[in-house]
Amino acid sequence: MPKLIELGLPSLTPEVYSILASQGIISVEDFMLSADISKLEAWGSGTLKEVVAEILHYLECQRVGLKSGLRGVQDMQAMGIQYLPTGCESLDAILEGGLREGTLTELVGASATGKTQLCMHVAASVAYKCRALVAYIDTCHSFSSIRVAHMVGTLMKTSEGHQGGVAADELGKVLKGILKFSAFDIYSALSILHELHASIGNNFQAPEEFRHLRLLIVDSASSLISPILGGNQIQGHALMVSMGAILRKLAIENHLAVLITNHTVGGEFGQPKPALGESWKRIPDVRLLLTHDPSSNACEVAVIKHSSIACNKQASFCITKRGLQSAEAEL
Amino acid sequence: MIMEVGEWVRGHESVASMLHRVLPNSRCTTPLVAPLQQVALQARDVVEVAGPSGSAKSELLLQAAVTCLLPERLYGGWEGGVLWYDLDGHFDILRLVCLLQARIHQGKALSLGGLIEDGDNIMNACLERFLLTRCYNSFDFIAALQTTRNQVKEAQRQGRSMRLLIIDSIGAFYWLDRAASLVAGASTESSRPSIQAVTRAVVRELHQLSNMHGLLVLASKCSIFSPQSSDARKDTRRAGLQHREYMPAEWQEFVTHRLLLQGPMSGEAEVVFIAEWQMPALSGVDRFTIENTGLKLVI
Repeated sequence: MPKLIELGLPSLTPEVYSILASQGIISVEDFMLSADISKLEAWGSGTLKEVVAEILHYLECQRVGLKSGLRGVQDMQAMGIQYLPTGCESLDAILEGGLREGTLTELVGASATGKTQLCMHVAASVAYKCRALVAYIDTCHSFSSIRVAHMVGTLMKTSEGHQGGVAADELGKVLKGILKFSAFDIYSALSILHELHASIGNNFQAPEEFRHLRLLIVDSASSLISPILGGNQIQGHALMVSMGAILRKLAIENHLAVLITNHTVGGEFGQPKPALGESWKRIPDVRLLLTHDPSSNACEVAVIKHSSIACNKQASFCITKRGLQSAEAEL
Repeated sequence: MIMEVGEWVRGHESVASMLHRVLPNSRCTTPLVAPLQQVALQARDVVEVAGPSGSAKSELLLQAAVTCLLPERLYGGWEGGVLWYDLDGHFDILRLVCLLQARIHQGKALSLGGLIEDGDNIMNACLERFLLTRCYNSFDFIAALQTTRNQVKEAQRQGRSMRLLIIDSIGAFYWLDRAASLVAGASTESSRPSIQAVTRAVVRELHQLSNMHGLLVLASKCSIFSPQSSDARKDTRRAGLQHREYMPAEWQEFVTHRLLLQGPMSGEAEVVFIAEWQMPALSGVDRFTIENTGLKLVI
């Protein structure tokens, strides 16, 4: 943070500066940490008061200030509350329409419970149905563009009726709307996320219609984070929290829906538990638990944490050759 | 010199404005939200609501905010302003509107067709009294607290008094602050501030704000350690909720009351949450469920 002298405050005379310096206040950081504003203001001299007011004004300009609830509601109404369809009817039904923009959704499940399949299906559904850009950060080399093409093809067939083949150029357009990034450690993932945060609003290399980035997927977030959690606990946790913070920032400031996955590990008494534990738990707004029933080949999704809907709802889907099939739709 | 003395004699405020500032705060009578009703809370108290993620901490804070915002007549509120510091980024304005709507609807039903204000006006007035800010790190939070002073004073001058200050949640930057003080060797100038210094600054600002304007402070604190199995075994004997402190001593000393939350409890038909007072230590345990219209005690 800058030093007080560097701010160019008009009323920071050498005299006032020496008073502040005698209190150990040289930088803005010092002011925030150790300045007792009431005491400084009560101390008298008018110029000191002015300097305090100017520093406070500087701080005020640095951040988005307090906003009244009324403004918040008006802003939200102007923007509209959008839900992005996951493309799986039973899941959309329990989520009241899909993934909400501005929130973070987490899929938790053991391996082979359909986490990646669901991620790819959501990407296909949002790119095709919403004509929106999707950023997909692949951390395990599990993203398959052929599989996504199948899924988009199925979605196109079902929505347009069975009119023979799928238009190849249309398919290509939708697929170009899905931007895939690869990251195999947390540092590269963080730099991709920060770049994304900085470059939103600029044009991505994508077809004309797909202007807005609306969905960000990180599959899997836990495989980036769990390797750094052992050993030096503090640094690992700090990196994890900053990962959560940038995802949160992208969701709130850029109005994205964020979807991440978290695998499970063996916990106490052999009970599987999410790989990212207590400190991570508070980061997502919505947590969905995936389980797979081998006898019926159905994947169950249960809501285990949600900021606004009750947590006892369940949905299921099957993974088929053509894509994900909602269980109800099949019956 | 004479100018300065003159200013000192004139004082900062008139008796009328001082009384306006101090008096309304002594009438915090209606409990903000059901689980808080067992303890008589006063202005300038600092209540910590601690529990693991998903134990309805934010929901409880939201309900408290709603009661504070609503008018006194018919709705049994405090008709006061709320300052909400969102450190976790979980605040959902839709949920606030939904809860306010439910309470306004209930109030209307009770009034039995008497002369009643339009619901929309009440809603807008309530939302106007609600001030929100989001913080992304500890310095951002301190800056937010320092710059709030002017805004609160301004609101006071307009006759709107702030009554409640809410922080959700206080431990959000714990790991970042711990790690920041570790990289001290990297910076050549003065060493990076320790988490204690940062917390001290936060507490100083909160103390001044709450003292000056008679605010009640409510802060949620999310557990960052999973309960250990040995603790769990001990716990079954004591039959109380467990709580593991991690915040620096500066914060612990600042807290005057602590409510522990746990939940949701499985194996029951409804999703039930549990609340227990740890400070002051009370033996009773409150059980509650969360519905669309808000929090409801289970008897």
